[in-house]
Amino acid sequence: MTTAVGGVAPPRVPFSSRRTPTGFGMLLVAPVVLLLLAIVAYPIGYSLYLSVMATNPITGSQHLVGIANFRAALTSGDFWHAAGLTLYYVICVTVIGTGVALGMALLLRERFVGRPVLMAVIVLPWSLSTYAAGVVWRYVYSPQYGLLAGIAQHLGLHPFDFLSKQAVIPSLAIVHAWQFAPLGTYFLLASLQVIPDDLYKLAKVDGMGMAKRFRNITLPQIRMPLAIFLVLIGGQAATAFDLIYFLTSGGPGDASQTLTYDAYQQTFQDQDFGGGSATSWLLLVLVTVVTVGYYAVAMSSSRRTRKASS
Amino acid sequence: MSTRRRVVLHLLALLALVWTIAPLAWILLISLTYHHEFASSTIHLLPHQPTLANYVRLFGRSAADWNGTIQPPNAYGPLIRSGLVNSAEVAVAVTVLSMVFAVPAAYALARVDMRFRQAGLLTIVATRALPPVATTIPFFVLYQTLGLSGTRLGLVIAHLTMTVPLLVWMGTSFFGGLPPGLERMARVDGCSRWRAFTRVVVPASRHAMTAMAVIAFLTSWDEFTFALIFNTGTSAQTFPPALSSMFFQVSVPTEVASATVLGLLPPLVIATLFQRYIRKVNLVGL
Repeated sequence: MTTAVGGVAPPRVPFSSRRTPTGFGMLLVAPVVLLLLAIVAYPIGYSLYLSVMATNPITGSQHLVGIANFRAALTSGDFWHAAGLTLYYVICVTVIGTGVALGMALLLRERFVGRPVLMAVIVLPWSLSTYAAGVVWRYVYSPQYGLLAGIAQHLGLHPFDFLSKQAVIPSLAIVHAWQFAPLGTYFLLASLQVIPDDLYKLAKVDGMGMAKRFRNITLPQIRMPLAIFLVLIGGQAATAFDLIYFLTSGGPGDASQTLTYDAYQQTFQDQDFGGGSATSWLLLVLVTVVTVGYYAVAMSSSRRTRKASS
Repeated sequence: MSTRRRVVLHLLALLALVWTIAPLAWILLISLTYHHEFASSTIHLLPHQPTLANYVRLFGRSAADWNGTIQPPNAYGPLIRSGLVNSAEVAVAVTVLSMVFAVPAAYALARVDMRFRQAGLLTIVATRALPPVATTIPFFVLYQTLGLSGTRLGLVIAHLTMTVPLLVWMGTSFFGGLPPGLERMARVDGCSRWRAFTRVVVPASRHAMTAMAVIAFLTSWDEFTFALIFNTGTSAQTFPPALSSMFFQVSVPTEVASATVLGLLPPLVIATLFQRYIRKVNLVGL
């Protein structure tokens, strides 16, 4: 830098600094990267290592078994039973959760008495997390003292066993949707509120029905937040554990033994670290494949729509 | 708006309110019921004889039962109370540390014209995709060797794996939406990059940072899996595993209900107080 002539103090040059932008940025990001390396990269590596080892739970001795743990998982009926249940659970949670989130968002877009109250209270289930939702709904579903059984009793109906073998997965999914949908409502509402009302009025004048207005005006606006919410809720459902632990502990029998619960049992109850790790990894692969596949479909369909509209 | 449409709209709103509130109201009502009334053959939708006895007994005092006999303090009281204290300590530590790590990083990833920006952000966010069960096993083994299992510090570290990537994601999408010239004024006035960040950007982001802190606190307070596996039965046990042992060992649902309500109050109160900020959390702008 050259000094200004004439004894006047040089003006500060606004965009120079001793550090380059990359250096400054790195300085701020480095702590997080180091932290994540230590507390995320290590567990991933170690879990992969465990999945190819056989670990003796008593002596702690280990030896390499290659893909034997994976082969054992993939050839066992339990694994495929759990995988099927996981898929069923994910579909139920996604459908119910998205339905509730979208319904609430469309409702909150309208004007009605008590709207601010509803807006405020829908955050409550979300603040509880899934384990607490599991406890709370145990009291709703219980055939002996549950809220639903109580209502059935007052109406003179036969109480329905929500946690029976046939009903357990949809019943669990309802609880999960109850807890997670508010996040989706907030996401979707933010995007819905920027759609000008005139657009709907014009469409009405043009003679568009409700379904057509939804498809042509509403849906394109919320495609992006909806896609993100679907990925979030799907991932949540695929790895659900605490809710199942409190509500059914995998039961009745093995009717709610999803992959995550299976991995937990193998690891911490049967002390089979290799098998538990292998199951977790297979789950992770499944989730990744489904998410990437979903993204590919969503992206190509949104590209097609854009092309069609231009 | 036609009358019919208005009626339908209000009915739907009522339905939405009941769906949201009823499960919470029900566990609250059960916690205010005597076991005697609760165990009767008909289910009372409202307690005929409401009482705070379940709560009083959790706080280490005796209380009168429905017929006046004195009931001793609840044996699980100390467990639940120390669980609440541990949960609060862990959650506060997690909140402070998450903010210290995540806010500067999110700022840099959003607004500093640096290389590796996209790659850094993607890597950090991608770690969110890990299922918790996959990481509990390595943590469990590591903590056994390091002596961190059964400690609050161990749990704080485990919770940071969940909160830091989430807050970086939230923060990046927020800082990215601030007006582009915000720091320039400060830099013209002779501030360094760091001072421009602390003096101008941080004050302008109060609301978003409040939301981030609230979400870090809630994530830690609500966390169950790590807490169950590392700290069950130790003096560092947080509320969720304490409730879990009471839940699976005691068959007095009215008492379990009162303990549950105590543990749910902090997140419910915090979420209600700060819901204006939480509502604006936007993960879409990434």
